[in-house]
Amino acid sequence: MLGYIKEYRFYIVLSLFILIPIIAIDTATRAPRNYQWHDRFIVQITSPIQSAVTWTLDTIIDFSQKYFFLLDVQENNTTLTSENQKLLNIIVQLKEAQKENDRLRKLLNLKDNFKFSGLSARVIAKDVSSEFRSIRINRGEDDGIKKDMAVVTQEGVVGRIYRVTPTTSDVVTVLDLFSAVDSIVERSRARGIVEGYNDEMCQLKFVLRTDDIQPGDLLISSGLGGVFPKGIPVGTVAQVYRQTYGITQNVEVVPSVNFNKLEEVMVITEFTSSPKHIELKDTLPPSLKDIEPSEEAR
Amino acid sequence: MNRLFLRAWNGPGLILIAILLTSIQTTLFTQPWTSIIQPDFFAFLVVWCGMKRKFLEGGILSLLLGYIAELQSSSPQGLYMGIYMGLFLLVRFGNRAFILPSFKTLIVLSTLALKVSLLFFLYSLSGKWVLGFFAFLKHTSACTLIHFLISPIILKMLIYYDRLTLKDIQYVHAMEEGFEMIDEGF
Repeated sequence: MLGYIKEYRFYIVLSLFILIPIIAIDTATRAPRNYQWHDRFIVQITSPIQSAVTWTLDTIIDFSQKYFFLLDVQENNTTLTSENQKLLNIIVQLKEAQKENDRLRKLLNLKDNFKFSGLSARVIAKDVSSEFRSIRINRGEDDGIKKDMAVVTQEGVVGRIYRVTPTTSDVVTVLDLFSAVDSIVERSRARGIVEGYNDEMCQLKFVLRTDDIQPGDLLISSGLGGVFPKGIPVGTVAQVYRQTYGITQNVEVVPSVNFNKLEEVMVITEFTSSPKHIELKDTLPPSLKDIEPSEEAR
Repeated sequence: MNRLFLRAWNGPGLILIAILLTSIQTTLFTQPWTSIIQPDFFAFLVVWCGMKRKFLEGGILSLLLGYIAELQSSSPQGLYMGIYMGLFLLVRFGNRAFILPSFKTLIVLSTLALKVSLLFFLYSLSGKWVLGFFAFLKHTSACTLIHFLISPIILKMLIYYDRLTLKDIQYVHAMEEGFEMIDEGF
């Protein structure tokens, strides 16, 4: 037996080398795994180095930008002063609009459709390969972050958490090939799934050919799946390829978030997406409040 | 004893170098203009393992390098293990079947093989081409050029590392012969 193994040692090792990745891929497609203790160990080694390199780079860039800014500070000062005057006027107008908006909101007694609590985090690294588009942030389990939490910016959806360690988390962005966000077109309410495509584009898939979609339409998260609150911008329709046959159409989407300038993100730790119950009584004039509805109305 | 320790340290040390390099790879090339020139340091290490390590040792190191790469990526589990193992076997086969002139040539060929295999792997897994034809050409040629340019530096670094850990047998023999000649009075 030992002689047999020795004789065919090369072929046995070769088969093992080929089999191990195949088994790894097979098990991963059945049940995606989270970080194990040995994975965490390696990530714990890399993340401080990544943080340090990112901090050093930021400091250098920040310093150089400030230096170059000082070179033409005089010219900028005069430009900014006149710009400031214009902005002050706009602020006054906006304040008026805000007050009007508040009054209307009070009249309707509507509250925000969703409210969430979140944690801000800093991007410390990106994917090791240009073919995949995940990012690493400097918040982890210790901060209360869990798998499948939504990550957003003020611009819109960034992605979702897919792996966590005590101090860091990996976020699979909407640009990633294996990401999927259930979305609806804000204007026509057509539904589809936004999947990653390349460095700049996503694709809206499984959308019916008969659905009304036009370039420029805004896509928002549908709230299905429970990862993203409903109504967060996902992207804007760039191109629609509608064939004369088939049941679906191809739609290219530009993400709302500019991933090239992504530095800080917010992780949504808790949210409610269901609209609040509206008390109609509160919206009625006081004189009508006491009138009981008739039986027919009931 | 010291020599044994240094040789034993070579493998784990290479893994630590890979961890350090991946930290640089994932942070230094995050700017939009640097994204296209992001090198794959693992490819260098895998090619080096294919050239300079024994079959078993090199294979295990390639699997470990693939595993570390997957920890820094959203790629499906096993993808990089498979690709790097394929690259390792290809280098070993190429190194024996053909006369490949230099590390640079191997790196260029490996980069092309890596990019093409990654593209096809992704297509088979997701059912879509990640990049258009011209975007793929742009990415691949930029990556190949960068690999070509930095390969002498990486090669020097790896040769130095092997000498430092006494893994380079020829260097060790030359050193021993040198000592003998000194002992003999030359």
